[in-house]
Amino acid sequence: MPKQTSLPADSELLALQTQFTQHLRNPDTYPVPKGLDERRVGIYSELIFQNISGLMSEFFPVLKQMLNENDWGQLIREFFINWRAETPYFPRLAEEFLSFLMSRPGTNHEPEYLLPLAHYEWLELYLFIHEAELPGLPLDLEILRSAPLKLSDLAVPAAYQFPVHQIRAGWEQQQASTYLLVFRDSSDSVRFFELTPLAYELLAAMTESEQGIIAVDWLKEKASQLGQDETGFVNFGLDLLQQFNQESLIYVEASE
Amino acid sequence: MASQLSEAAPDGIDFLEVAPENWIGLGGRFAKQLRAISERTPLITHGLSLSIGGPAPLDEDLVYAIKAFMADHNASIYSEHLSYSNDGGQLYDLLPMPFTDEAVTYTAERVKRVQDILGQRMALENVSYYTTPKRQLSEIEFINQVVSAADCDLLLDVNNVYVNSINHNYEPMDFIRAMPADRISYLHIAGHYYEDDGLIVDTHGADIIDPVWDLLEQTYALIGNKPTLLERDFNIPHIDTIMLELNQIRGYQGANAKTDLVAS
Repeated sequence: MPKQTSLPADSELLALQTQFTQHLRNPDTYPVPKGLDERRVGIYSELIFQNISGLMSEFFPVLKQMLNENDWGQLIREFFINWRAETPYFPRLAEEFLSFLMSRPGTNHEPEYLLPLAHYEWLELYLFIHEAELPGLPLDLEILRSAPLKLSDLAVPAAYQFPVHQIRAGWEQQQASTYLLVFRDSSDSVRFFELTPLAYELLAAMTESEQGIIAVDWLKEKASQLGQDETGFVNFGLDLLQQFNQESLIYVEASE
Repeated sequence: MASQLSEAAPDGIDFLEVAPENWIGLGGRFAKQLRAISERTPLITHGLSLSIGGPAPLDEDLVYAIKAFMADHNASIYSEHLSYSNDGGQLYDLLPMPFTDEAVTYTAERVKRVQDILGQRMALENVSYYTTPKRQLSEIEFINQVVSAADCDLLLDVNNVYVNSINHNYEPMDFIRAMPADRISYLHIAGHYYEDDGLIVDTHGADIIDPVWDLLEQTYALIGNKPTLLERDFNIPHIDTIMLELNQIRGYQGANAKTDLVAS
């Protein structure tokens, strides 16, 4: 027998294992493999389904709560049928599930806020387990005014068409443009600030910029675009940034 | 569990077992708790996702990551299940190997590759299983041949032997007597959940039952005291309750043994 760590296409082992998992993934299309006891195979079907359903309801507790039992079960079944999860790491399964949700067309009886809510719940977990640490102490006010500012990897500005942070049982579905800064604080808890569209725009610019944004310049330009009083506008913007700065979410790239 | 253990280290825990796939790449609060634990208590690693007998290519990136994780936390042992979980996508559960010559050769080659990367032996665990796609060999032959061909260690899960002995109708001590004693590096013991109609499903979510305690005692008598890990993955009770079970293990082992606890 050849010595190898992968299986040739005509391998009996490959066929046996594939028939088994095809049935577990999609029992309606693939019958129980010949010669195997339906009830015993059924234990595996039940185990893999309950395991993933349980993990996903830990990662997406609100989504689980908002969907009815049938729709939730249908999502988990579809995940097995249509998705091939790659990550060996359990906490990264939330990301696999979100990617799966984003890859599918959806059905018209599912709530419209399904994807935004799933994204928000994923983002909370993403930040909770992120390997980055906060940059350190808040910046001096003078630096906040003059230096090119960047946003910590532990703070993510996010825009949604639904108030995802307010969704809970009994919530009446209502669209509303929603801007949040979701972040992990110095005690490793995940929190959020609600943002105005303008604050979102500034923070998004800080996130996207390689070299950082000089806030005063950005605010002055914005004021003139909007025909606003420059001084008042800049002061308002800096006060807002100071709020995030107090949480150590803003930093300046160390110079060479 | 991690938060209970990172705040207070009870006396009487000699080592803890973690699933590396729950911890690799993790930052934040959980990472700090794990660090606090591993600075004080020796860790061993027990993998979940390698799919050592599975049809998908061996995930060498995972093996390298586990090696780095072990070095980082000074963990001594790496064990995995003699099972598979990946058919080109992860199913995140322990599926039953066909007991065939091809599966022996294939799995053993993959174990050898893992051991080459790690620079140390790994241990394979006898899993609980409810059916197998093909029985060319007996379970006893299958396990012995893989361990021998791969030149690896065996993690003997006493609870799984008990569960399988009910589900496949054999005498559990006959099975344990047929295991390669010189390859057994440590033991697992756990509670389980009973399903009706004569089949038991393994969950690691309940207290250990008397027949499993008896089996553990007989195992020590047969192969001597081995480091023993109490597995508890769900319905985790207060640490005091777990310590009672650890003390019972210690009671069986006598004065000079090692007892332990899982933190998945």
